[in-house]
Amino acid sequence: MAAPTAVASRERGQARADALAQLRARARLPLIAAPVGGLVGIFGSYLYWTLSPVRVEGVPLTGRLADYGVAGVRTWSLVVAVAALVYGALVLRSRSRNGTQGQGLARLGIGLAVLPLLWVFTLVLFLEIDIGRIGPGPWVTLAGGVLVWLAARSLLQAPAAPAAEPWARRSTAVDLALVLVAELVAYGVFLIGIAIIDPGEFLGFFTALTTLAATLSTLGVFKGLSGPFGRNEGVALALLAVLLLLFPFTQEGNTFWIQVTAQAGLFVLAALGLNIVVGSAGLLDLGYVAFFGIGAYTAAITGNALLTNVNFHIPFLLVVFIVAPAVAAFFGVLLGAPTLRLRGDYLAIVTLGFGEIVRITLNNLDPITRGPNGISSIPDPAIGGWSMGSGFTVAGFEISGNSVYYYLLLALIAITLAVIYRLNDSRIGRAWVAVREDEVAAAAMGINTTIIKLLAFAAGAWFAGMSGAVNAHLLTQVSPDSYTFPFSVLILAMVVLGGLGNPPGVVLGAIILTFLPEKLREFSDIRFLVFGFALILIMRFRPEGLLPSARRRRELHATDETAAAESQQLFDIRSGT
Amino acid sequence: MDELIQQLANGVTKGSYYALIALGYTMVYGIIQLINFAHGEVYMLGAFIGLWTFNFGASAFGWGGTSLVALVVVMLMATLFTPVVGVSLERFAYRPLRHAPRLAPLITALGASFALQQLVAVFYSRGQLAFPDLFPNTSFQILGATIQVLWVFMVALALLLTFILTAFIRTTRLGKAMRATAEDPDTARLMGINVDQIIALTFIIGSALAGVGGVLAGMYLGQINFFMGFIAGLKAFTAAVLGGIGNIGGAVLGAFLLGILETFGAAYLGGEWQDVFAFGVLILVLVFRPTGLLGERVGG
Repeated sequence: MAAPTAVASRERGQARADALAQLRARARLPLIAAPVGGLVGIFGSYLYWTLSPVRVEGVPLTGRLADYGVAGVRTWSLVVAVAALVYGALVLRSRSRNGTQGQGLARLGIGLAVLPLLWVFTLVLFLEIDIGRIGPGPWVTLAGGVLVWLAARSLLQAPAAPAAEPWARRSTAVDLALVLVAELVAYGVFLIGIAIIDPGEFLGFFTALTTLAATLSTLGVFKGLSGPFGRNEGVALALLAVLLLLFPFTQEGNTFWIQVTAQAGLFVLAALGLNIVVGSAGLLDLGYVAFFGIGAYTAAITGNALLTNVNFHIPFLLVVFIVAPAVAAFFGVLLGAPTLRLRGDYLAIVTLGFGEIVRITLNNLDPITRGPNGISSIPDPAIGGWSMGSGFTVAGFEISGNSVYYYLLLALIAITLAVIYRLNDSRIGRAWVAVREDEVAAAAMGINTTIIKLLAFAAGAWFAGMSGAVNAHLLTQVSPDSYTFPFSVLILAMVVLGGLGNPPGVVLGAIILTFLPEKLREFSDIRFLVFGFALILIMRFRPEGLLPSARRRRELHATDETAAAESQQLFDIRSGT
Repeated sequence: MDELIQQLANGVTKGSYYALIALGYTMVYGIIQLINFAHGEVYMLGAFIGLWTFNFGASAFGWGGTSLVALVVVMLMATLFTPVVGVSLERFAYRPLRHAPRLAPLITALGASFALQQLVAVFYSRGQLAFPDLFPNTSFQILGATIQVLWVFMVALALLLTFILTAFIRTTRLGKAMRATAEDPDTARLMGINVDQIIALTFIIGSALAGVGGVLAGMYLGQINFFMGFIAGLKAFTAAVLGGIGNIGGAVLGAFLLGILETFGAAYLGGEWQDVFAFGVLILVLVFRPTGLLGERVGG
């Protein structure tokens, strides 16, 4: 451990990094390669992607993959390739080229390359298709993507465009048109995604969507859109509400995806609650599932279940809005009161232990919980004489039972979001952030940190209990096995993926992580594996999540930079420069 | 009385592999103040590497049942490969986040724990797998209690390894560097200590000990599964906290205490409440004496 060894190894590392950087800087092509790459991608999309028709468990993969032409997964590689061609040509003609354009182009190139690669990878690895049966299409498309990417790298040295600004107001009509188009496009994309059945095609769709969204984000389109949206908040919200209310009518009587969407709504609710604890107050709660489970069991016991040992019936609306959340929050306070004085990492492990205690207790408390069997045959809640499961008819339109759950959750989420936004702007919300950022300083400012943390815990548990109560009725049964540790991690992954501390991000994260596994059922085995790696990668490369709150982004990146600067200083002193 | 001694023996045996896992938790926490959630998974991998090695040996060299060669090779393989996992975790998951906000490495550790579990579940097996009796299945009577020779071996090995570890940290140059790093990494770096290497070394030692623990637990429990690291890791962490985190002797003491408490709790309250009992202890210790029995301490 003598000093010279340490210095020598650092110098070796430095030399290696320099060589790599040089190699990286050299990997580029003239800009003309971008539209060419787009063309190659289009050509690749039209070539056949497999040499013979591919069946998975007897069901053929859709999209006539063995012919020339475009369908299935190739539609989506075509979309990305066309985008690369058009945008590549635009940048080529542009007089004031800048680095930001290069970044956008590079993302299109990476997407165009990753899409066929991912498709081949899943086919070979999970559907056990022999790699020899893959046609030339994916490889040509991949080459097109690499061309675009290399071309984009020629703009690497160009100065970045000025930071994107929200678009200024031109006229009310333009503003409203932008809001309308943006919301309709988002809604359309959602409906298209739901309509795709084939997992291979969905993978292509999802990659294309991610690529285009990443590109638009780089080019500042989302930032720009925040202008018109900010000026017309009311209109935007009203339009969104109308679109969401109309969703069940787009499903043509098929209720499966309505049910999945309702399930997504449950997760959104739970994730919003966890976001208060982890995102706003910065307390890592790993036993969150316990509160969800407590809410679900409360609803099961009070919900007239057929197979139960105890039953005191309480009207459903009372349970969902007050009883289940209050019971969950009570346990939240019970756990939090003694433990919230602890350091953050101790708290994580205590909550983890609490989650296990609750699960084991549910498992063993036979007289009340029916042990491992759980409580089942929970009927749809009745409000007055009307059972929610039977649906209703409005102006000749039939609304199914699943749609009623969907509407119920929409309402609950709307209320929750309103509450959360009000809370965040309140004294309590600001205190949460203060405690998260620096507990000692917060205490010095006169904040009672224990009470404030306890409030965050109780609020988080409240929404988990609410979500759990609806869950019990939606699934018609509760059992201890449903409320295990992986569930806590799933909800945490939703919060982290979407953007810690930012409600819209959390909603997005919950929706993505509900629909993705549902669409990729063929790969459900590796679902949790992917979650695990996703958590590591997000924390490493984008700790602020997909849709970060402005404050969080600054906080996370500022910390990185300060830390880097500090260690650089230390290094300078050490190496005597 | 017989019953009492029997339970005591069971508890102490359990404590021996809790101790081997707890050492890793406490060392890593002592040196970088991180709860390495994935540490329980390293222990689980130790058991699986052991089983895999045994199966390989059984088909290649015809190992069957108890054999000293098999035992030694299985142990060696587990101690050789678990450090690779531990160091990779440190290098690729934790090191880049050493200066990030506290929540980031915690979530990463959680993700790593999950990923390792699922790697085994997806690519090896989701089921309960029988672990071979590598150790002669004989027992003797003492004060009316039946004691397996394996149990004595486990406790002796755990104590021996703890003793070696303590000696290493107290007397060698590397041990001194470790204590210095735990005390103050920045100053240690100024003194010419390669802090990154010392942290990696901590992970190596901790993982190797957990690997041994995995093999011992496999032999003791007779079966292993991909989920075994979760509960065991949680309990080992409880043990480390009980003894005073960052404190080597404390971790071992805490592990034996927890093993004994848990066995008695299970015997008198019913086996199904065993885990509740352990986590209850964790919460009580954290609430009433968060510094543990022997006090929080960094370094040896």
